[in-house]
Amino acid sequence: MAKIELMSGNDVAVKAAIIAGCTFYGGYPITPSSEIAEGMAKALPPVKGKFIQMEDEIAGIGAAIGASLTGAKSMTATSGPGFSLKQEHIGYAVMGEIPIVIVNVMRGGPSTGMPTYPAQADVMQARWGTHGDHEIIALMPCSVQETFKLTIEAFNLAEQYRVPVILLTDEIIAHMREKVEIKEKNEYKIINRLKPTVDPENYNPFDTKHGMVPPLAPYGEGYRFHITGLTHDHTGFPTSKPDLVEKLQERLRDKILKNRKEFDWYEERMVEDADIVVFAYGATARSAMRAIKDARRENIKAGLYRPITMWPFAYDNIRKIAKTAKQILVVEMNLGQGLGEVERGVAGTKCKVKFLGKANGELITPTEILSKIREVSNV
Amino acid sequence: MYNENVFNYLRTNKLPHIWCPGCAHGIITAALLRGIDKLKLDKNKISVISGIGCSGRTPGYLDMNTLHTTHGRSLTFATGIKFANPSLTVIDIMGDGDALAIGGNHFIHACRRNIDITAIIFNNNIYGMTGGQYSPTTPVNAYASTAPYGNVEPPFDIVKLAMGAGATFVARGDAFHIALMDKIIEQAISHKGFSVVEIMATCPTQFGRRNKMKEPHQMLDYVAEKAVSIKKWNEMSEEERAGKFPVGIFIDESRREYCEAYEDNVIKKSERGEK
Amino acid sequence: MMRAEIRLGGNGGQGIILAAKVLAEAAGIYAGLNVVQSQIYGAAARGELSKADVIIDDGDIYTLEISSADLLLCLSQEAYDHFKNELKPEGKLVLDEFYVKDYDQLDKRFLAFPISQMSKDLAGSEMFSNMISVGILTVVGGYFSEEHALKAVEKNVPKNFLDMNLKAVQMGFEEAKKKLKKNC
Repeated sequence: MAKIELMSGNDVAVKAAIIAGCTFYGGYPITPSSEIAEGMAKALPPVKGKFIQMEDEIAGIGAAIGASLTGAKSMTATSGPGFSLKQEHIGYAVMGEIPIVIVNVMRGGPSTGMPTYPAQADVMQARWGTHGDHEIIALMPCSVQETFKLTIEAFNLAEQYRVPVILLTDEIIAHMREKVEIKEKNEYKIINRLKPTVDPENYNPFDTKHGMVPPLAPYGEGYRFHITGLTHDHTGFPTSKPDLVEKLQERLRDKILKNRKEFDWYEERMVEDADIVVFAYGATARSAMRAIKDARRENIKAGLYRPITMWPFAYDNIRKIAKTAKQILVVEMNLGQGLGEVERGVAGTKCKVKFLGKANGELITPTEILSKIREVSNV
Repeated sequence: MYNENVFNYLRTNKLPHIWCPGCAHGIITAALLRGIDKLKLDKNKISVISGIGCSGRTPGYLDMNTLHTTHGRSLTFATGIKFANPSLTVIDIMGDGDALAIGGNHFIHACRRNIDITAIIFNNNIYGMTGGQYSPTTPVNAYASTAPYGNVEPPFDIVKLAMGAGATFVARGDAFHIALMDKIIEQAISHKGFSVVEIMATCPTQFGRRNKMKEPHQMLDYVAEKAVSIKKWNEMSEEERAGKFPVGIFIDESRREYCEAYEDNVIKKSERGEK
Repeated sequence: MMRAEIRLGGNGGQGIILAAKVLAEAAGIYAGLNVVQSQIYGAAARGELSKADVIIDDGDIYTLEISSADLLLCLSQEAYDHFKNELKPEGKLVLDEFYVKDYDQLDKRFLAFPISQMSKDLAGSEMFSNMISVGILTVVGGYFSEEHALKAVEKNVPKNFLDMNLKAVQMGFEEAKKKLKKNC
């Protein structure tokens, strides 16, 4: 039976992780994500799961990746500066194709910045924080209920595509309490990674015979294999042969990009006839929802496009909006990280892109967005 | 010391290895495999993890569950593997720069936790793979590509560091004294808890060439002459000790192992609803 | 459409975050309204000015922050000084007259109660000030019933302190009703 509970975003991420089947957490405390570590420390042992507080952020994700290789669904959580430290191993998980979920509760930056104040400062860090060409999946919830849903989806995507998946929340969503509906575990769709069906002798950890996502065997079950952060061939052993490296790079990209339609999540409100569409995500989108309603009352045809799957970016969705809307107003708690992507999306159309951004630790209010809508609509 | 069985644990199709002539890494790897063979471990249940550097290439040659990770961070992956599946025998191979410079923090905390992992440090006193830069174990006055006027930094004593940090098995061997190395490695793997094994290795290519020991045998002689047993070391004066190092098992004690402690103190308590 | 913005101010350690959580559960879980509850992060442990907000709405909640409150609780002078101007013209401010000595006695929106004294009378300590406040705010706000508040208290306080907490809330109900009657 479904239960309604009053929970914070961080608390609900813990609940969802357990429902998704997470049995390992490796991390390091950091404001404002620490409640996730605290919650996992409490919630994992009763399901025979393991929690470990490591010596630093890099170690936290390192342990989580190691655990994943034994077959455990594994996670870590962090915030801004910690997310910077974790980038090395996010790249390792991309290259080794090791499923893992990283929750990043965004706070103000750069550097120590504003630990207890909200921001959406890591949109680009999520995309390009680790070095090298790669695609990444990042999801952004705008409510506690959606944090619950997307935490489960993050595990599902990580397992399904053998990738690190980033859940990008912000200090507001992480700490505020809202009502959430939580159903019985069996009412949620839970995806587990594919295990090999071939004999151990014929197993290759990066074998693409059956598709772009090779099955992953857990350590200890007879499939002895090798994983390296070096470019490698289908056997898992290093190679620097240009044709093999190219094949690897393309597959790492394509397994995400070519499957993107399977997780092309977004929300549109009153977009069909809108002259101006607000592009906003996370907590900022909540303010935008109010603002477009108020604008409609003033006879301004405003709408909202809210990306839920932030990365890979849905340029096509933006292009579609750009064909009907006169303007897109990008609103975000940073100085223009999503802006550039929207501009790429509208390129070649007549749609104009306007911007309202703040990086001072304050949530952008509905009033501020409404004023900007009026201003750019020349009302 | 020749043991035909070690081939059972090798990915022979990956040979020959990439190590230079005169490098001791192959000698240490063979000792590791002899230990594993002697203990009759199931290779399906062994995980060997490494960082980056010449030593980092070792797991690639071993027919086990192997992971070649990031520079200095191999112990973090190893910790996750062991903790998530304590039935695996976990062996972590590191170089001196790997374990003590970039990975120094992970190293001391793994010692403190006493998780059942065998850490083997291939100490050749230099960054070999990247071109002979000085490492945290390069002796004072030795030459390196980043110490063209001689090294001024005092080196770590890995044994003292590991003991101070709480490792429950700490030993040092060298690539010349094979019997001792075999004994140490075998005991380290058998030990329940965090075991640290430092093996004094040789790098004629990067260390030897810069320090008047470019012939492989010169470097092996170098470690052979410097190594003295702990017993003998204890009887030596400070002057006699200069330029030498003690080899043997320094500590082999029993303390609550991390995975067991978690199982007994955390999981079982949570099942009983206790705090 | 009903939207109510409640702000609770005091010093860390006065239990206002728990009070906010109880109010939010009374409204959200038991009265079936939508709620958003947030607080200053980390202040509670440090004894400095602490703030917790509850937004109640019968529709979806889009504005996640309070600009000015419909209902404001001030358990300390500092909280009063800091938040008194963030009260709506038709709002109500509930204060603990034991700690808030310096306030505008002529402002008809202000309702003074000896909250911490009431707690001492009840239990010999101030630890129930927060639940007495919950009782007062329930009656003064009128966003949900007394029964909803009692249920939320039951869910949120430790079992061995439940009786005293329920008594404290009821004490708040009674005093608030008396005061509102007098003011009419």
